[in-house]
Amino acid sequence: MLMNNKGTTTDQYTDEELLILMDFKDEDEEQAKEAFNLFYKRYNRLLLSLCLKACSNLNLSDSEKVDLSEIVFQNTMTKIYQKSHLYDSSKGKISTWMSRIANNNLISQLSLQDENIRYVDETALEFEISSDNEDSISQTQSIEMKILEEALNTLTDKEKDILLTYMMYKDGEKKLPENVIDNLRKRYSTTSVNLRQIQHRSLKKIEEYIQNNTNLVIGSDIHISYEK
Amino acid sequence: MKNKSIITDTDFENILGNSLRSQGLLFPGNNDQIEFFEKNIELCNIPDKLKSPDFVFEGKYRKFKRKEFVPENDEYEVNWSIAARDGKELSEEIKKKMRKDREESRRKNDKNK
Repeated sequence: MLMNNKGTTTDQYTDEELLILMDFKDEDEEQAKEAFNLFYKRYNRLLLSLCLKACSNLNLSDSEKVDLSEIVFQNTMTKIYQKSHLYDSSKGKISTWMSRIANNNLISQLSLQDENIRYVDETALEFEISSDNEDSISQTQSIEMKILEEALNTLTDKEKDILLTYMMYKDGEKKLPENVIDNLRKRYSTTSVNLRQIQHRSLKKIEEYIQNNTNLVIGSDIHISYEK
Repeated sequence: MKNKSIITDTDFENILGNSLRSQGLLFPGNNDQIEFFEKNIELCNIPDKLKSPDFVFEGKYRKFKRKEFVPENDEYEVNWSIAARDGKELSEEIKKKMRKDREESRRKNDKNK
């Protein structure tokens, strides 16, 4: 049973304290597992919800979406337990850190080529934990959920898949890796140039829908000017 | 008269990215986005098979295996390419045919899943 320094049993450890306890798994495995159990109860619903939502618009069957969500969920939790010492509170909340790990795992899952490996060594999966907030603009503006989902529904499954794949990598201005482009190319029997055209076309469709249904006016040679 | 917010294409992409992440359609990447998600999105329940965290202690990582993907009907893609190359507006007849091709391709895909 986990005890705090006052000698009483408690499940009121902070999340950071739980991560520290996990980090001492070599010294006290039982305590580390117990700490993780608590952490798991606190975060499992959030993480699974994140995974299900992030996979919901991928061009997969319903059962594949659930399968992929659960795999990303499990891999993320495993990673957190094994690398709890990597969390840095100065760089964001634990849930943010967890979401970034999951994002990286999803990206890895979609780009892994070998169909025959069922379990992979963790080094084969990228878990680079980019800890800086790479959004260059203060994002006080966002699009209402209903409008956003309606806009996405104007796209075909293929357009959605391609656009969201590009957007997945857009955080931090990352370019789409060659193997991901190859995957998309093969999947849709098309060229890299056509992929960019589809991405561009899809973005334009969404822009048009948003413009017609919100107060945003979007243009390439208009400078930022917010009317209040 | 409704006030309009005028933004560039680049800013729109950033706003779109922020919205997708805040609403969980992409994984949130910063505190603001995750907090928005936590506040506004209803969390799912945990299925029985994931109630226990014991899988974590096995230390294994799983790999997703995608089922064989059947590409969309080639004719649909060819029509788009031709139209795109010519730079012409598509006629109603072509659009109708493309919609039909697309539906057929989707039906084929669903059968194969």
